[in-house]
Amino acid sequence: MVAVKETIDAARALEGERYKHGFVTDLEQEFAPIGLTEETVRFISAKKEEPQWMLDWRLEAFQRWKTMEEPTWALVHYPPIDYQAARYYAAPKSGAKYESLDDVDPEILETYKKLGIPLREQETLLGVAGAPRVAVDAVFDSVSVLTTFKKELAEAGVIFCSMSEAVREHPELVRKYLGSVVPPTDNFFATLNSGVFSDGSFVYVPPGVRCPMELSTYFRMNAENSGQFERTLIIADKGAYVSYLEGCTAPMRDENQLHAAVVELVALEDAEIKYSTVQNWWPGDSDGKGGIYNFVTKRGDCRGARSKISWTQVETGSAITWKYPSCILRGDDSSGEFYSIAVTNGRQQADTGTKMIHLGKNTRSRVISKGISAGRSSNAYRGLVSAHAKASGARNFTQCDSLLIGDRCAAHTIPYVETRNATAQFEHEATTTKVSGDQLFYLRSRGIPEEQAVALLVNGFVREVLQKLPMEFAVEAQKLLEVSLEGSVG
Amino acid sequence: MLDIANLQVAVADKEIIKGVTLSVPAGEVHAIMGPNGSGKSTLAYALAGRDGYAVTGGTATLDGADILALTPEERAAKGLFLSFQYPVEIPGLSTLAFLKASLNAQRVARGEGEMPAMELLKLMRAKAEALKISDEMLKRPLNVGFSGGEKKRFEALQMAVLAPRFAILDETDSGLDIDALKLVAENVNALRGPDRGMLVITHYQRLLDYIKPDRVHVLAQGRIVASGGPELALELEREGYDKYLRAA
Amino acid sequence: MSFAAELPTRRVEAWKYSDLRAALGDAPHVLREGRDIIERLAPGTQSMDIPAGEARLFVERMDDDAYLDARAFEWRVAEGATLTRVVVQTGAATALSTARVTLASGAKLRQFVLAEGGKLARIETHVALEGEGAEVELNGIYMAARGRHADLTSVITHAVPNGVTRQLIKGVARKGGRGVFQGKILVERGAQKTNARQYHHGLLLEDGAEIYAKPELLIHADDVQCAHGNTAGGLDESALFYLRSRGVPESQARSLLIEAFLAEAIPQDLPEALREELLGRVRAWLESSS
Repeated sequence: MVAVKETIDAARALEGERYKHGFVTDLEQEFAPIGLTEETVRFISAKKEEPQWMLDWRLEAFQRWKTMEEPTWALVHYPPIDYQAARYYAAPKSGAKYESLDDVDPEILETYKKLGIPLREQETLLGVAGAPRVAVDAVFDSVSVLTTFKKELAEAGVIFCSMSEAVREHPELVRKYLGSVVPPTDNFFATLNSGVFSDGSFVYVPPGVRCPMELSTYFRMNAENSGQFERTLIIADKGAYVSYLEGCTAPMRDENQLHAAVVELVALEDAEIKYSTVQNWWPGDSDGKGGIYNFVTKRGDCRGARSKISWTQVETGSAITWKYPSCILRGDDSSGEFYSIAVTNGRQQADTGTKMIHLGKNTRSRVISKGISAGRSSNAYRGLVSAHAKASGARNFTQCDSLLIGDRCAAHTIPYVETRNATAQFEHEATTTKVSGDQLFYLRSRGIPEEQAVALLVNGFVREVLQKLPMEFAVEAQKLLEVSLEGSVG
Repeated sequence: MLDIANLQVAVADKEIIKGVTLSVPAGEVHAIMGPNGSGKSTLAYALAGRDGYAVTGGTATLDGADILALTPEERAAKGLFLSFQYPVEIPGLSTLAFLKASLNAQRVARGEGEMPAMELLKLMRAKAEALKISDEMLKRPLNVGFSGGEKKRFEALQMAVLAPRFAILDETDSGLDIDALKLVAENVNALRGPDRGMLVITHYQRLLDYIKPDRVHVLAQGRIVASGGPELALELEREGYDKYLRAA
Repeated sequence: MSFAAELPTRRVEAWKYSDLRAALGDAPHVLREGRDIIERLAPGTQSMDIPAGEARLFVERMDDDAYLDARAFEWRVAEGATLTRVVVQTGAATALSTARVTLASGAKLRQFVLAEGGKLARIETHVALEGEGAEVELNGIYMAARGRHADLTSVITHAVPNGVTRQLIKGVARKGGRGVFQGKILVERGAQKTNARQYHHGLLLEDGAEIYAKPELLIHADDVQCAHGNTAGGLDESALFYLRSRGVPESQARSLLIEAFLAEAIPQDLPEALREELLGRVRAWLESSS
C-alpha cells in the first residue's frame, strides 16, 4: 500500500495550502517555436520521428482546423485566445523516453514525488501482497517520460505505452482506431488536437484479458506559454476489461494555458472500460488571473454488443472547463455511465456534462452529476441523451443535482433529450439547493468548525459519485474537494 | 371452472412455470402459497395475458373455453379478474372514469349494453362505502399518491363493481395493516358464492385466516409440489418452505 | 441581406430544433423592426395593460391554414392583476407567436397553450417577473401528427425575490410528427426565495415520432428552490395492461391513457366551457390521427 499511502499523504499535504501543485520545475527544456503553422505540425511530427501517414493525418486535420470557428454556445466567457501566441511542443531536454527510473532527470522525479505519484514501482512492489497496484504513464508537458510496470503488463498481453511509441511500434492498431471515435473533423478543439497532439497514453487489452492492474496517466504542464494536447486511445478487445485513471496538475502561472486533449475509448463485444479522472489543473487565482483552459473531447464507443463504458470524473481545477465525456451506445445491450463531481470556486467556469447516444437495441445509460458552485464561479451541467429510431428498448436515467455555496455563484442545468423511438424511456431529474443554514448550525452547535461542516455536507452531497472511484483516487478526491472549497464560506 | 393443465410460462426466454396443473371448481377458493421467486406472480400475469409472459406449453380454460388465445380485455370480459400485487398509478385518469370505462367495455363485449350513468354511480358508491372509500377518493387520479392499503382497497372495489366470474388475488395482503386486511377480506368474502371461483396467491398464511381456502397448493420453483386442505397452510406457517424447496 | 439570410439557421441555439429557414426561406416576407425574429415577421405588436387588481382572460385561436400566421404581443400586468391566456393552435400553416409579459408585484400570469403544430408552429413566451411575489403558471400540450411540427418555447426571468414559477408541458407525437419543448428559467442574482418547478413529459406514440426537449435552469442566487424533470418515452405498458385486464379494449385503453396524460397539463380552473373545448380538441385529435 506504499503507493496508495504516498498518494494519501500527498493529498493530506494539500491541506493548508490552496494549490500545492503550483510549483515550477527548473530544467532544461526543448521547445517548438511560438506560433502555429504547418511548420509547427511538421516540427512536432519530426521530433517524434513519426511515419509519413501520421504526418499526413496531422496536416489534413490542421488544414481543416484553419477553416473552423471556435464554439460559443457554452456558458463560459473568456477573452479571445491567440492561438499564435502559444507553444505547441515542450520537452525535457535530456531525451524523450527513459528505459528505467535511473535515467530520468532527478528534477522530474522530484516533481512527480511532490505530486504524490507512485512512479517508484519498486516501492510499490514492497507493498502489502494483494494491495492494488497502479501502472503509471507520466506525461511531462508534451512527452511521456516513463511508463511503469511495462514488463508485467506485456506478460498479460496488455500494451500500455505512450502514444508516440504506439505510433512507431503498433502502427496497425493506431491506424485502425485513432480518430475512429473522435474523427479529426469532430470539433474545433479536437481538430486542433489532431494536428498538434503531443503525447498521451495508448492502451490495448487483447481479447478475454482482464488487465491485471489499474492503469494510470499523470499529466503535468510545466513549461511557460505552452499548451498541452495529449491524445489517449484505449481499446478493450472482445471480453477484455481495463480500469484507467487520469490525474492532472499544472504550475501556478499568471497567464492562461490551453489544454485541448482528446481521449478515445473503444469497447468491443463484452468488453468493459472504466475511465476515472481527477482533474486538478491550476484554476487561476481568486481574481480569475491565470489558470488552465481545459477544452477536452472525451468519447467512448461501445462498439460491440454488451460492451460497457463508465466515465467517472472529479473536476476541481482549471479556470475554464469545456468537457463532455460521452458514450456512443452502438452495440446492442451495451451500456454507458457517467458519474461526475464538478466543483467551481473563485472565478472558475465550468460547462461540463455528457452525451449518451443510443443507437443499438436495449442500450442503457445512467448519468449522475453533482455540481458544486462557490465564490463567484459558474457551473453548468450540459447533457444530451438521444435515441436513434432503431434504438428500441433504450433506457436512460439522469440525476443532476446542484449545490450553491454563497450568493455570488451560479449553477445551470441544461439537459437535452432527443428521441425518435417509441420504446425508449428517458428520465431526467434535477434539483438545485444551497448548503442549508439549519444543517450548518446543527453541526456547528456540536462543535464542528464551519469549514469542516461544509466539507461534511458536501461529502454527503457527492457520496454517490465518490463511491464509483477506485479507492486510491477516492481519498485524494475527497481531500481535493475540501481544499477546493476552502474560503468558500464566511 | 378454471382449469389449468401442464402450463409452462417463460419470461425473457427463461422458463419460470414448469408445468402447473390445477382445477378450481365454481364455488371454491384455492390458495397458492410459495416462497419468493417460486413463480406465483408469473402464473397470475400469464393467466391475465400480460405481454412478455409467454405460454410455452399447456392449456388454461375458464368454463371450458380457452383463455390463452385471448387478449387481456377479452379475458376480462369473460369474467377473469386479477387483483394486482402492485396496482399501477395513472395520473390524470380518475377512478370513476376508469371504472366506467372498464365496466361498460366488459358489458358491451358481453352484449349487455352500457350501464346508465346514474345506476353506475349508485353501484360504485354503494361498493365504495363498504370499503370505506369516500367520494373524494373516487375523484382522485387512479392509485396516484395512494398508500399501499388504499391501493388494495381500490382493487377490492374494482372487483366488487366488476363482479367477475373468477378472481385471482395476487399478494393482496402485502402492504396492508391488520384493519385494512380485515376490511378487504370481508369484501372478498362477500363475493364468494356458488358461481364464482377464486385463486388467492400469498406468501404468508395470515391472509388465509380471513379468506378461508377450500384447498391449498404449494408452488416451488415453478411446480406445484404439494396440495391439501387448509391445514397445509398452517403447516407451512410452522415449518416454512424448506422441505418443499429441497423436494423441488 | 436576403430574406432567407435574416432567418435563424439551426446553428442558432434558440432555433436548434425548428428550421425556420426551411419553412419560410423560399417565400420572402416583409420584416419589421423587432426584438426577435417572430416579432419581425408579425404585421404589428399588440400591446396591452392589465390594470392593478384586475383579471383578464384572452383566448387566441391560431387556426389559419394560410402560408404564414405570425403574431406578436406585449402585456404589462400591473400589481395584483391576473392575466389568463389560452392559445389554441390548430392550423396547418407556419404559425408563429411571440409574447412578452412583464409582471408587477403580486401579478399573475396563467397561460395554457394547446398546439397541434403546423408546417412549423412555434409559440414563444417571454415572461419577466419584475415585482416581488409574482406568479407564473405556464402550461401547455403539443400533439404533433404526421407532418406537423409543434414547438413550445419559453423564457422565464426571475429578476426579484419571492417569485413562483410552475411549468408543466406535456406532448405527444405520432410517426412523422415532431414535438419541441425549450424552456429556460433564469434566476437572476438577488432573486432570492425563488421557487421554480419545471416539468416536461413527452410521449412518442409510434417509432419515427420525434421529441426534442431542452429544459434549462440558469441560477444565480443561492436561496432558491428549483427543480425540473424531463421524460420522454412510449406509453406505459404496465398501465396499458392494467386497463386491458379490467376489460378495456386496447385502442380505447391507449386513448384513455393519452387523454389522461395530456389532460393533467390543462388547468383545472379554466372556465368550464373552455376546458371542455380543450378536452374536446384532445379527443378529436386522438380520433382523427390514430
